[in-house]
Formats: sequence, C-alpha cells, structure tokens
Amino acid sequence: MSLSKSATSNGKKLRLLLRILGCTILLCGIGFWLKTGAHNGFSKNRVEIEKVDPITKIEYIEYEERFVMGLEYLAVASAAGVGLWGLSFFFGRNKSPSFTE
Amino acid sequence: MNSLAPTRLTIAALLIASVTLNAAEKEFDFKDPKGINNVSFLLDAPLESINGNAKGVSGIVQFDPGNPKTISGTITVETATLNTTNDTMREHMLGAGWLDAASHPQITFATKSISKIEPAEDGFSAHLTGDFTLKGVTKEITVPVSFTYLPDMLGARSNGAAEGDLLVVRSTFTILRSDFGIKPGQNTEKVADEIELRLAIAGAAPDA
Repeated sequence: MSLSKSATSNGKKLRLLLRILGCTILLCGIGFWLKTGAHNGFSKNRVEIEKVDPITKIEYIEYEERFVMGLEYLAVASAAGVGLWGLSFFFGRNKSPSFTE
Repeated sequence: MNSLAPTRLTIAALLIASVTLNAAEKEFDFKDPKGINNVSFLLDAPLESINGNAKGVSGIVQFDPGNPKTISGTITVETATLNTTNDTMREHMLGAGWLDAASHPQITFATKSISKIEPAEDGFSAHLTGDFTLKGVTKEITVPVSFTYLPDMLGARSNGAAEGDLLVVRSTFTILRSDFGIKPGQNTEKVADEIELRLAIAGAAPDA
C-alpha cells in the first residue's frame, strides 16, 4: 500500500515535471519566434537589408548575419511541448480501488 | 598621279570618319569593386517563395551614347555568388542537382541585337536580344532593358579616384528553369519553374 502511494506520488511529480517542461518548450518556442520577427516562412541564417546607391540609384541587398527562427522550428517546439503534455497523462493517475485494495 | 588624288582624299576622309565614330563609342566595365551591381531572383512556388541575389557581376559593354543601336557586349554572373537567406537552401541551389555551380561556374548574357529603342529620362529603353547561358544551356532570349547614361559621374562614385562616365542597365525578365535543364517538371510545388530575374548594374568608362 505504501509502495503504491509512493509510486503514485512519484508519478504525479513526473507528470507535473513533464507539463512544466512541455509548457516551457512551447512558450520558449513561441517567444523566440516572436522575438526574432515572427517570420512566416523557413528559418533564415542572414537577413536582407535593402540599400540604394546614391549615385546610380541602384537598389541592392546587404546581408546581416542574424538568425531568424522560421515556422519549422516553431512546429518542432509546439510538437515537443504538446507531446510532453500528452505524455504526462500516462503518469501519476490514481489507480481504481478495485485494483489497489 | 592626279587621278589618284580623289581616291586618296576619299580614303583619308573615311579614316577620319572612322576614328571619329570610334571615339564616340565607349567601353563600360561592369566589374564593381563596391559590390553594388546585382542580379536578384524570385521564385514563387505554391508551397515556398525563394528569393536571393548574386553580386559576382562582370562584363564589358561597348556603348555609343549618340548611337545606342551599336551596343554590344557580354554580362557574366559568377554562379557561386548566388545567395539566399538560408544556408541549407543555398547549398542545395548551388549543388549538382540544381545549378551545379562547380561544373557551370558562370551565367552569361551576350548581346546580339537591339530593337524598340525609345528615349526615356536620362537614357533610353529598348529590347535586347542575346544568348542567355545557364547551366551550360544557351537560349536566345529578348529582354526589356533600360539604359541610364550618366556622363562624368564616375568621379562622384569613385570618390575622385577616376573620372569618366557611368552606364546603368536595368532589366526585369522571366525564364523557365525547365528550359535550361534544371530538374524540368520536378519539385514544382516548392521550386517554381518560372524564375523572375531583376538586373541592376552600372558600368564605368574611365576617361582615357
């Protein structure tokens, strides 16, 4: 009986941990995506900066080396977050009295 | 002896005329140490939009401001200078499956003829026909081009290092990658067959 209670208690702790971890990954993913510009496409390793040559009026691009998170990383973070949350349901459940007593 | 005199005069006159005509024609070098000359590309597929540019532009164009019909030359883009905002995408683009930059290091356009010349602000617009070579395949294409002639502006651009003229060439046209054997009919949901190219380059003709 005490072993069963201990197992349930550990399961509840694990469930809580998984949910916290899931939420953290999801929120960090969304937060980082928003912070880097909420780019609606694949990730970028560099960012285009448009410039104009004052003499010839030619428009040209200069690249700034900066990471911009894309939707593929957001999808992975969301899947990991939701997956961990879903996994938490397998731990720390109260077993039915017919089996424990 | 006297009968030869008119012939000699005619030859002399022709030589002078020839020298005068050649003097008006200038050679513009499109190699750009400032890295401003560029060709940008845009592919808009249903699942993915790809854009980027290339800065490795060079070439020589013979141009007579008074007689644009005589324009001729070749513009070259180093394939390896094509760039996008994503390293993986760039690697794939330059790889053997797509542009194969290692085997086909240059993309070129060599002029053949000019038509539909119309005056515009600071220059003229026209249709330029030439041989466009991409991934080893050459096709004759006709593209709309605008020319802006900027006499005595090289000094301002080079901070006084050289005096001379500038010729700005702009063109926007479309090609099909399938025409040049770049994975025809494949991956069209992600990599559009139609490629829009935007050229904006300036050539310099230093004073002799």
